[in-house]
Amino acid sequence: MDARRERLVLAAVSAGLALLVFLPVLGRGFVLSYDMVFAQRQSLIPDALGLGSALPRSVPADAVIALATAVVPGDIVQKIILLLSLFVAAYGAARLVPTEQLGTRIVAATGYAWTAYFAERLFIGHWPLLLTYACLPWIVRAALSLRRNEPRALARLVLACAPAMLTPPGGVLAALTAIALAGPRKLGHTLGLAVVLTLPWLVPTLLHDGGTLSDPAGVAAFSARAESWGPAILSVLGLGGIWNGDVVPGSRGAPMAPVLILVTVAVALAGLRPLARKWGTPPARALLLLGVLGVVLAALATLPFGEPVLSWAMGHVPGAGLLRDAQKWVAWWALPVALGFALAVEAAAARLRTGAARGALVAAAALFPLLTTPDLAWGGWGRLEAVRYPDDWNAVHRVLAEDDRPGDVVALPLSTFRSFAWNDHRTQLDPAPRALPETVLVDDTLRVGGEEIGGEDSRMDRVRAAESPEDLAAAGIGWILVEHGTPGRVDPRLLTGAKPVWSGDWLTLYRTPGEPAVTRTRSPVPVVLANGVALVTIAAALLCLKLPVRTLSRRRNSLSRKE
Amino acid sequence: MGTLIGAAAAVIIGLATAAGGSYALTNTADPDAAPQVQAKIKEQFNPNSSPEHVIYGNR
Repeated sequence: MDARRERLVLAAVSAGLALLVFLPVLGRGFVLSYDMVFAQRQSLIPDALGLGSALPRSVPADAVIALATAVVPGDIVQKIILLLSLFVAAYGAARLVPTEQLGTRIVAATGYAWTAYFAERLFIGHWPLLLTYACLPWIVRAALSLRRNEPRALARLVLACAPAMLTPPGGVLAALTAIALAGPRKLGHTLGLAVVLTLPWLVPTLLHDGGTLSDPAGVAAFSARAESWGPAILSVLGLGGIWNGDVVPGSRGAPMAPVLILVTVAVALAGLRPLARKWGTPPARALLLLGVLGVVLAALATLPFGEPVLSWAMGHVPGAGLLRDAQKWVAWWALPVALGFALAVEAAAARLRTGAARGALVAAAALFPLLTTPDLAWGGWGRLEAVRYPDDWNAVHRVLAEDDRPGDVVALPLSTFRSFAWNDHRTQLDPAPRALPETVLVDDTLRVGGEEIGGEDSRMDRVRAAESPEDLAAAGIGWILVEHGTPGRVDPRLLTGAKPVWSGDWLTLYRTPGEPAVTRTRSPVPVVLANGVALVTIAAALLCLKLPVRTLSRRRNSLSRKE
Repeated sequence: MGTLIGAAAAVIIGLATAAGGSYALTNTADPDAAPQVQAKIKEQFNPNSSPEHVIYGNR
């Protein structure tokens, strides 16, 4: 089979996998599940660039989505991102595995894309992490090219890293992958690239007024979790173990699951030797070590002394909050497992005598991930669904957009998450900060089971302490948004004296009395500069790849020879 | 050698199929999942009537 046809087959397989998961949600409407919030048109408010009072956890992802939804409706942007994340992951792994066999590529594609990691991060709504996960094979490919001094490798590495670095965890995952795989000789290139592309969230984090420490209670609440009878580290080795039991696919709890995890890991480790033969030992070792680092970080809070060390770090080391919900780091483990598994199957198939037996083994290995986690298919068997926002949201959006009154919006009841009947009572992040054209303050206290994990937004302290709408106005609040049909009480004192300006079944918007005491926000110049530098770097990489540099130089050479 | 690989692969795939199949069976056999029963449960259970807050998740 020629290379072009092979690529077409791989693209078809990857597209098939993506459709198998996302086909039921492709209609108009939004998939709103836990942390995944999209809106028809997201505004480029200061928070989207990390200029607000909250820690820049979703920066520059929110700014990118704001720009994208200015051109394309938000629900279509969301579906494109979701489809691409699975397609690019599968296709990337298929192209990365060093083999001449199409079957081996397909095994790597399903082994990398159809995982517990993808399922759990999808169900909890961490779409930027899914993008990072999808980019990792491409980052490894570009980093290996850079290691071999191939032309334009650095430009390709920049473009592979850019979509992966939309949030701080994604930035760290992508940057360390590039650094480890490109090797120490290219450290200057990869380190420089990492710094430049992480500037959009690094600068607002460093300039953040409220500090960057996190509540140590989050360590235990967000630590990796055992999904079956094995310990948590076994679930992590199987690319699962997310802290939230409510988003874990049911198949992960099956009694057979730990046995299958051990079998998969054993087969994958056997396949790392052929990988080292084809890539060379240093890059294969770097990929394995990165994977082991991911497993150790993910399981750290569940290991002896892990929890106290991490708790201390949360309270004393700025930015240590990145280690919270540490299961996300196990993304590094997915590539050695998928590539090793595919190459081990190839080696085993080579020992079989008949073509039919070889084909059967490869087909079985390709279907193995789908058989062991069938409940990722079809939107998690109904777990995900596309829903439409009630018209109230558009009406409130219009009122706020047309009124130039200063002051931010506070969303009541004070709770980070909502559960609306129009979204089938799914747990979802409050959509107000992304669906409305003003800065919206929401209570960022997180509740896991019966435990509360303190928020990080310094402005919320004044809002929580408010006893009247005048207190809210003094805290810089110009509007009060009460969301109906979701659990939580609204303190009636906060509404006494506030003027209702719009009311519907799901939302009521009040205006606070008097003039809100708007405080000056810090200068946006450093953050805008940081984004500018990153954008220019990406544009330069794109130009470097697309401009016919060689043709131009050949032409110039031939001209100079003629002269 | 081929027989050995075939046997090992058959066992692994058998386990995987059993895991997937049993999961699918227990899910589809769940009488509570029937649309009529679900409609009744939704009718009776309104999460907005009791809890104070929406929690992020359970461990």
